[in-house]
Amino acid sequence: MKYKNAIIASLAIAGIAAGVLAVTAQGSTSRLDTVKKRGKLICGVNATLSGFGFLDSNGKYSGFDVDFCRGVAAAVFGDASKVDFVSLTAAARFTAIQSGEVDVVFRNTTFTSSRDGDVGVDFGPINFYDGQGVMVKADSAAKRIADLAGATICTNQGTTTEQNINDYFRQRKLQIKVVTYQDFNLVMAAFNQGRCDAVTTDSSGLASQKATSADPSNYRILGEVISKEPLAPFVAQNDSKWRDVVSWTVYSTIYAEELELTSRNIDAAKTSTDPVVRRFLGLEGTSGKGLGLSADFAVDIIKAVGSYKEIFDRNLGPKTKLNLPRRQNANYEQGGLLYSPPFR
Amino acid sequence: MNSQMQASVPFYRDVKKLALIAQVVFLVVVVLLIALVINNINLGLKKQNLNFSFDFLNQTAGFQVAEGTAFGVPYDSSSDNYFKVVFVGLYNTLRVAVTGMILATVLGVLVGIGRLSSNWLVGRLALVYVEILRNTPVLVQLFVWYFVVILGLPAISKAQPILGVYLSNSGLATPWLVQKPDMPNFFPVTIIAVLIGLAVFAFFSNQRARTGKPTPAGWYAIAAWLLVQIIGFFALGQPLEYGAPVRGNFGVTGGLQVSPEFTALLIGLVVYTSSFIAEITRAGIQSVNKGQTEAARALGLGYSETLQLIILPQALRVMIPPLGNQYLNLTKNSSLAVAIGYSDVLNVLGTAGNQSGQNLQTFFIAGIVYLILSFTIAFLVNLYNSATRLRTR
Repeated sequence: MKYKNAIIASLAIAGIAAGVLAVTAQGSTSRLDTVKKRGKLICGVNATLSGFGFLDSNGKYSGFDVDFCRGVAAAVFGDASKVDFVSLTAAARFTAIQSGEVDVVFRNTTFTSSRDGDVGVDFGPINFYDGQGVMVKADSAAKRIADLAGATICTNQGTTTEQNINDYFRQRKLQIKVVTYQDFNLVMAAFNQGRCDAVTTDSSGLASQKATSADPSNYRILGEVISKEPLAPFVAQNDSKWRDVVSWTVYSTIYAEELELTSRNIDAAKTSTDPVVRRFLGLEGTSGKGLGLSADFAVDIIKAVGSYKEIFDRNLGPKTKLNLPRRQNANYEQGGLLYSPPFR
Repeated sequence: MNSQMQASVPFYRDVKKLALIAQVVFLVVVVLLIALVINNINLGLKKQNLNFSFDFLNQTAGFQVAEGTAFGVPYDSSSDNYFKVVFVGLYNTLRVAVTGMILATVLGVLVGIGRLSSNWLVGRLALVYVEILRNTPVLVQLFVWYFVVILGLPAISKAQPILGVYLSNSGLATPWLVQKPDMPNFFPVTIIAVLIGLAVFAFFSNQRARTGKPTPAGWYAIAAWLLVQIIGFFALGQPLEYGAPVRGNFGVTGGLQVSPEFTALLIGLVVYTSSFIAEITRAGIQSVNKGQTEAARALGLGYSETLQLIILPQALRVMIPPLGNQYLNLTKNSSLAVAIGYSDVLNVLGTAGNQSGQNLQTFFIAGIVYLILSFTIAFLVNLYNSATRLRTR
C-alpha cells in the first residue's frame, strides 16, 4: 500500500502548511494584543551584567533594565510580576525581536540610525546615556587610550563598540588588534588570562565588571570616553501601538521624578489638587485609554518599580557596588538629559 | 477480454492510477508548502520594512578581523567591503580545516594502530585517549584547550625567545619569510606548488605500483614542491623577505604569528576528530583477513612492513567513506570557532550581520558556504574512493 503512506505524508505536510498559514495570519495585530492575550510579557534582557541585567544563583533577575521590564508588565497588567525574562547575547538580541521570540528588549543597547533603519527594530526613549570606555589592568603602562597603540583589545561580538574602537585608532593612524568573543564573560576570562591588554565596552558595563570582580583594585578604567552610547529599549518595527506602551512606561518613571512622586508617596498623591499630578495619575484626562492601557497605568508602574531615581538608586546608585554618578542621567532640572513629554 | 476487464475497474481501485494520483497530490502539497514558506518570509520581511538584497556586500565593513587575509590579499577595515571580509573568514576556515584534516588523519591512524598494539600499556593508553575524547563535547574541549592550556602559557612580556621563537599566551611568533607589502601576491604560487607536489607523488606511486620498483615518491614530491616555490619566488621578483618577531610595548610584531585562537581550535579539532579516526582505523585493520598478516610474516616481512605494505593499503579501502564523514564533521565543527574568538567564516559573517543589520542574508551566505565546502570535500573523497576501491571483474 505504497500510496497510503504518500497520502498520510501529504496530510501531515498539509497540517504543517496550515500551521505556517496560522503564523502568517497572526502578523497584522499589534503586539500589545498578543501580550494581553498571553497574560504575560516576555522581555529580553542581559543576564550577565550586574546592575543592569543579572541572573543570580537563585534564578532571579535583577537590575536597571530588568526593572523597566517589570514596569512595562505593570503598565499592561497592573502586575509587575507578570513577566518572563529571556537572557540574550549581544549578537542574538535583534533576531530575538525580529522572530517575535520576545516582546521588547531592555538590554543596554545603543540606539543608532542603522539599527533603526536596517535592522528592522524601533527604539523607545533613551533610558540610559552612556559612552564607550576602555579598561586596563591596574599595572598597565597605558594612561590614555592612545597609549594602547599596538595592543590587543577584547570586546564582545555584535556591538557598536567593535567599530568605535577601530575608528578611534584608525583616525589617529594607530594600529590595534581586536579579538571578539560572543559573551562578555568570555571577554573578561580572556582579559584575566592575559590574552588582551585592554577590554572595551560601555563605561557603565566596565564599572559593573570592575565592581563585581573578585578584586576591583586589579583594574583601572581609563578616563576618556570615546563615543556616544545612548541605551534604549526596542521593539519590532512598524508597531507604533506597542512602542507607545514601552515609551510611556519609560516616560512615566522620568515624569514621576520630575513631580517628586515615588513608590511610597504615590497613593497619598491621589488627593492632590494639582491638575498635572491628577492627569499623570489618570484622575483626569484619557491618556491611558488612548494608549490601550488602564487610566491609572502610571500609578501601577510607579507603585511597582518606582520613579527613575528610585530605579537608578536601587541598581546603580551610591548604595550599590557600582556606585555610578547620575551625571547626564540626571533629570533636566538637575542639569541632566532626562526629560519627559507631558502627560496630558 | 483483458482490456474489457481493465476498463471495468474503477480508478479508485486501480493501484497504478491511485499511486499516480497520490504522487501528484504529494507534489502539489510540497510545492504549495515551499510557496507558503517563501511567502511567509516575504511577509515577515515586508512587515519590518526589510529587503532581502545583497547590496550591503558593497558597503565598507569598518570592523577589524583579528587575523587572516583574503587568500593572501591583505584586508583593510577602513576601505574594504563586506564581500572581501567574507573571504578573509573563508580563508581562516579553510586554513584550520585543511591543516586539521591532515593532522587528524596522521594522529588518528597512529592511535588506531596503537589500539591494536600487543603492548598492554600502549593499547590501554590509546583506549583511554579514544574513550575520553570521543565521549566529551568538542565545545567543552575547545574551552579547555583555549582558556586553560593556551592562555595558561606565560604572558608575552615574560616569555623568553628560543632561537628567535616566542611562545606565549599571545600565540607563537617565529622568524619566517613574509610577503613584501607592494609586491605580487605569493600565495597562489604556494597553492600551485602544493598541487604539483601532489601530482608528482601520485605519478611516482602509480609507477611503483605498476613496475614494482621501489621509488621514493615522497622525496620526489617534496623536491618538486620546493622547486616550484623557488622558481615562483624569482619569477615574481622576490616578493618575500626575512622577518623576525620584534618585541614592542604590547606583544611582538613581525615574522610569522600564529594566534592562540587558531592554535586552540586546531588542537581541539585535531584531537577530537583523531579519536574517531582511530576507531575507523582499528575497524579497517580488523576487517583485513588475518591470513594476510600470516602470509606476509611467512614471506619474511617485519611488523612495520606488514602493516605498511599489506594491511594498511587494504584497510584504507574500508576506511575512506567513514573518513570522509569525519572530514565533513571537522569542517563543520570548525564553526565553533566563534566560542573562542577565532575569526572563521561564521564568526565574520555573524559580525557582518550585526554591523549591517542583514542577519538573514549573512546566515544565508553562511549556509551556502558550508554547503559548497561539504560538497567539495564529499566529491574529493568519492573521487579518491572510486580510484582506490577494489575492482571486481
